[in-house]
Amino acid sequence: MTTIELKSVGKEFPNGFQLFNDLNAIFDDDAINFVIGRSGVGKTTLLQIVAGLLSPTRGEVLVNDVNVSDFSRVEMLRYRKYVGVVTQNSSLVLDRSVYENVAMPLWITGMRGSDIRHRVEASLRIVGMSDAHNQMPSRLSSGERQRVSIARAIVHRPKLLVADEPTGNFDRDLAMEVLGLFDLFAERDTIVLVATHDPHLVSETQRVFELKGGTIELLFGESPEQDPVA
Amino acid sequence: MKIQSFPWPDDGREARESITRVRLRSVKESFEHICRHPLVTIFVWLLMGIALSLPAGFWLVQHNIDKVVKELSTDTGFTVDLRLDLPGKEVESSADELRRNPLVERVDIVTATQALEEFQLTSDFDEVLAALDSNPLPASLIVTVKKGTEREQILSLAEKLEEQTSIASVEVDTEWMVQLRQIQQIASRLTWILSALYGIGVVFVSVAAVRYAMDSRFEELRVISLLGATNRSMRRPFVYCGTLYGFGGGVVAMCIVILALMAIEPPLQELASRYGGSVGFVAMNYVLGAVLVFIGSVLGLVGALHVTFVQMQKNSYLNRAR
Repeated sequence: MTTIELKSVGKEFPNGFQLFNDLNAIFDDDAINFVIGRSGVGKTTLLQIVAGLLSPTRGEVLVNDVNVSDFSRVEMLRYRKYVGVVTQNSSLVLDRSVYENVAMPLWITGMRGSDIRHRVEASLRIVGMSDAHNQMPSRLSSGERQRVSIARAIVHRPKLLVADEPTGNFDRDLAMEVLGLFDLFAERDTIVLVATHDPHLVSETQRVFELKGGTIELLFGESPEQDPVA
Repeated sequence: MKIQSFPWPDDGREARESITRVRLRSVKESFEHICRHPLVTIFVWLLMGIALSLPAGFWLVQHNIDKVVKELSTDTGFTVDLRLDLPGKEVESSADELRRNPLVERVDIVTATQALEEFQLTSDFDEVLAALDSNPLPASLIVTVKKGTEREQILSLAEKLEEQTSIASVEVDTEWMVQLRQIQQIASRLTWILSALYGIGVVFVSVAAVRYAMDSRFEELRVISLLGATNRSMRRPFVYCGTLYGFGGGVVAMCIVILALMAIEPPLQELASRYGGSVGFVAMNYVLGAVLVFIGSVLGLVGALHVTFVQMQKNSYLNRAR
């Protein structure tokens, strides 16, 4: 089981703007961890801190009790090989084929070509895009692009998957379909963190954190530390 | 380096990674970029090639002038015109006396009769000369001084000879040598100045071309920085790209110089034959070609290293990659 614990995490930007000062929360891999909140409250920044794309200005981010916010550059680069990132606008490179887009995280690591092919095919199969190998992203619908984006996020078998507004402006059915994919990964011992500004996407049966006024609170579901089994 | 414990146990993924494959991938990407933008590539290669060929051409010209100066300076000498009424024996003895001088390498005698015959061959004064009672030309001595003799030493020797009663005049023509040496110096300095200026020009071309390449793939860079690529790995394909631009520019420059030398070779050979055909001109060869291509590659690399570093620093999206 993987847990992520935020201990008094704060983020202040170079211009002096303090986004949050004392975030405390625990995420685990039992279920999807939703972070909701209005635009501009710092959901993206929080996800980037957890993913190792930004450093907090104070506090600790403990992943399996290891403080990753203290990591050196080399350690952080290693950490990020275990992290998958999905963004709202899918962030696909439009002049690269679907196959190339999904293969990108593996190119960065210098994996063997045959291994890359197997991994990309498997990832596209999981998201239901097996036939789209050679297609260009510009010819795909927004839902299909997001599936490709998810395939790219999981191709290197991340232990942590962060998704920033992955359903964007999708209609409810499409949004639920995409979230269904994240459920799959949560079931496979991957810790999934999804940020969304749309409260209608979450229900009381899920684990939902609300980011508001510089603090984070568990809105629904049980915190891992309160779980007697955990 | 401090190695902190890691959140997850090693699942073997790092064993499958290879920096060599990452580098090969960068080389492939560089070639792909060059192939995807053929017009830009040809334009860059031509620009760099022209910029490199000019100092290379100047260097060859300067090198050839050096060679000419070196070879011709060994033949430096002067002509001694003897008095008209000097008997043949005294001509011989004057020549022997000169041969004993430590500065003199060789003395050739041109008798009055030989001088007249030569004059008749090269002038249209046959009738005038026939009308004369006697030969108006004196005997002369063609003096060749030893290699390495300074101009001042030659002039001093000529002055001493002019004081002798058997000698009518001494003609020292070293002025052209002085001029040639001055041209040599100018050419040398010009070559260095041009090399520096055009070298900077090549770096600028590389900077502009690589920046264009980065701008055209900005979105891709943003995405791969998000996926965990390091600044170094993001820069690498562009650094290779700049080096390839420089390499191609060097090859183009080599071709330009070869073509230019082919065009000017006939008149150069003619010029050489006028001076006895003893001067072997320096032309483009494998070593010079390799040096030119190497310099082009290095300048391309310098430009690429600079612009990729600046772009990575400047661009906030890319900075997120730590």
